[in-house]
Amino acid sequence: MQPVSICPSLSQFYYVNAPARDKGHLADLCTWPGAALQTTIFGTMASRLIVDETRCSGCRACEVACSDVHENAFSPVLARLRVLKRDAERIDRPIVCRFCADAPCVAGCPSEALSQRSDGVLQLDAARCESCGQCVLACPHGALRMHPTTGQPLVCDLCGGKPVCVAACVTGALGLEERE
Amino acid sequence: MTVNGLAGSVLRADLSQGRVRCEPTELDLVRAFLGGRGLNVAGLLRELPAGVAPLSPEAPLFVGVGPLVGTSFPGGARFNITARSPQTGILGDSNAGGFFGPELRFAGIDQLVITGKAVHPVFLWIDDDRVEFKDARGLWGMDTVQVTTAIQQELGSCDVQVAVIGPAAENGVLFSGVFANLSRPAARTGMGTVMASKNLKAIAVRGTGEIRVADPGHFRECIARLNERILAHPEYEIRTRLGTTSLIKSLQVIGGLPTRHFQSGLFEAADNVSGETIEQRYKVRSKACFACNIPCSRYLVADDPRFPGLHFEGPEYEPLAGFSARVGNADLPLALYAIDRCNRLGMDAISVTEVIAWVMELGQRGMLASAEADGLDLEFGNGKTILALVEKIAGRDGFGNVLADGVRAAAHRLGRGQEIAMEVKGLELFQADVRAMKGYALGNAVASRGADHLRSEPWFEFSGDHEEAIRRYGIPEAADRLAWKGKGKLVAHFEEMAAVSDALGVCKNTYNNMEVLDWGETAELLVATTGWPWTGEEVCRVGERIVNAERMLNARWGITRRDDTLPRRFLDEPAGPPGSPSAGSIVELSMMLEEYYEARGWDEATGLPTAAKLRELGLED
Repeated sequence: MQPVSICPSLSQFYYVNAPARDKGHLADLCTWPGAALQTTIFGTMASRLIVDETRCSGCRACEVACSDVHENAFSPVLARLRVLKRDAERIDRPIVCRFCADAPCVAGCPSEALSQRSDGVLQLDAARCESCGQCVLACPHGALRMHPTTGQPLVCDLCGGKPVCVAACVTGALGLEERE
Repeated sequence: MTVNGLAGSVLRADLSQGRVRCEPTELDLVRAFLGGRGLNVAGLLRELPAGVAPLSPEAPLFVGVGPLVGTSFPGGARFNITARSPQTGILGDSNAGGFFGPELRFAGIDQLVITGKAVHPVFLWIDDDRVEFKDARGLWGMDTVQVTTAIQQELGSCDVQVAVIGPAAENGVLFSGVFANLSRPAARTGMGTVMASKNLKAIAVRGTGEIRVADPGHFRECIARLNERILAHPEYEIRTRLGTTSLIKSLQVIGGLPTRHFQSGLFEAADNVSGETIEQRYKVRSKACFACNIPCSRYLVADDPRFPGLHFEGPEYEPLAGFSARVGNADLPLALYAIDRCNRLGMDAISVTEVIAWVMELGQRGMLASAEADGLDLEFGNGKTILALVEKIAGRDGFGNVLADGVRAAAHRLGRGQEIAMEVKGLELFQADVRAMKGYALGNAVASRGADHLRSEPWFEFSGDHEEAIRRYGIPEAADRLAWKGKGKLVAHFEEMAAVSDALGVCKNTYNNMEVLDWGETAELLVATTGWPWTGEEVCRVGERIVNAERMLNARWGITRRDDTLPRRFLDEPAGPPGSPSAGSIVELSMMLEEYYEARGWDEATGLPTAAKLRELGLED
């Protein structure tokens, strides 16, 4: 694996010595010891995902729902979002695509397979994608993962505006704010 | 490959040979036993050689995960761990939630079968289809929290799910459990002790596979209906706020708390130690098992200068009532600290609180002198004694060594106190006075792993719904907690529900206590899952088959009707105190047992399944 180039302010949150098995597991190495709980608003355009970590029960129903509707399978590694959990430190942290303006993953894609719509949502041209994993490495938030068999990035499409992860979240840790 | 909701494999690990073997999950067995607890008892029946001692290397240990585990079924999170119990000598079986069970399924495993004994401590590392025995010599002696963290660090990921044992198991304490996600114990019947006897410190798993059901669309519809029903349930709100800790107050209301070793059904300090008090003072956030929409657990941070840094996920009602009412302790932070110690040391808090409370009652009656118990003050509620005994038991240190085999063995060893030992078949009784709930009394008397409420959990007797009782059982009193009539049928029915729940890998809070699916709806869900035809009748039959198979297994170890009994206190001493809502009640056990054997189709004299019943269930040898 190439040395991981990530936002320096986030580097402290990764286990530097951990054996990195494959690019798809980059986010597994993420940790956030002692970080303060926070509410963060992700997304910039028409609709935004709202994560309120103080309400997350860590159940991962969001991951299950996501893989169910996108892949017809129950498999957290196929989900477009994940819940980072560290039991001993009381951390349950949903990691979702932030739909960044000037998204680093899009910029990092050497084959122009990833693009961003005007509303911020990412699109993958599967035919062009060469499964190189640069987008996964480019994401500073650990929000992108690769499909374990195709090697292509699992891209959140906000379920066309009605995200099933939000519907599956009973505690209100995940929310959707629609703006117009 | 056919899509049937199964993960697909049974993984066999032989620790003596250092070999693993993978076999396809047997579909005939799934058809008959579903999975989890069912598949495990089928395995024990077939594979446990006669005359093998529970802690000998040849004795197999089964970890089963049912067909709904890892799916979107809310709370489809549970794994069962099964072996011959070193504590009771009969069926050992325990069950826990969290995230370990689903991860096993994502690694392709429906059941794990462990035999043999490693030459030195190891942990089993299952990384999808790569399986390794890893050196655990450096981990031996660590508590459950330390070892979980150390293994996740060694493997480089906090996504690895780990089920571990603590120092108590290593020291041979016979009621040591297996702990997942730090404080989710499969605690009962000493399954941790069995792991320790194999030099197996932990099982770590990461799975990146998938579970596919036969009809995803129909499955989704079933789950959507189920979710609506759960969210609209009248208990939903209280369950999400308090989980099982709400029972402190509910049992106080009916006079059913196990106060001072079941000498009173009321605990004067119930408000001090209630779930509501924990919520107000210490709760940080709700917590849930895998994919569950009832976050009934909680992170708590208990700010108490005596116990700096005390924080954990939990507790459930059982350890809470154990370290408060049962041992007569009104000091909530101390109770929470004791629970955390039990979890870290890796012991069953029900058994631990029974032996402590038993010792305190012996002291109260002048049957045990302080000098015989390492000089401890044996008065009920003495915090120092409670904490000291937890440590002594886990370390088999001094007087703790007498208690570390369970209350039955302790009474035998001291030669006194048998009449007040609160156990059935060698397993300690849960945290409720069953004189206040006759169905639970019967359930504990006949439960296949010894005294236990989770083998039946017949909540219906609290309903007071006579019409429904007549419809279900033909007897209105089945809905009255203090009545004995109708409880045979009630318990038989709920035993089948509990068995199916454990076989599917779902939580009894929803499947039993909230009755969110009936047999027909369960069958519909199974059709969508497996793609095989199922009827409600067949699902119910699976439950009956599991109960009968467990009874046959126990019969091999000499269990008969004679063992289906309760501690003398419940049969002879009227419940107290005077004026409580259950005052004066005693358990009319023999009448209930007759009803029960009849409902089961078992021989009334021996309490064993008849040949006809076994044939009917396809269980003849």
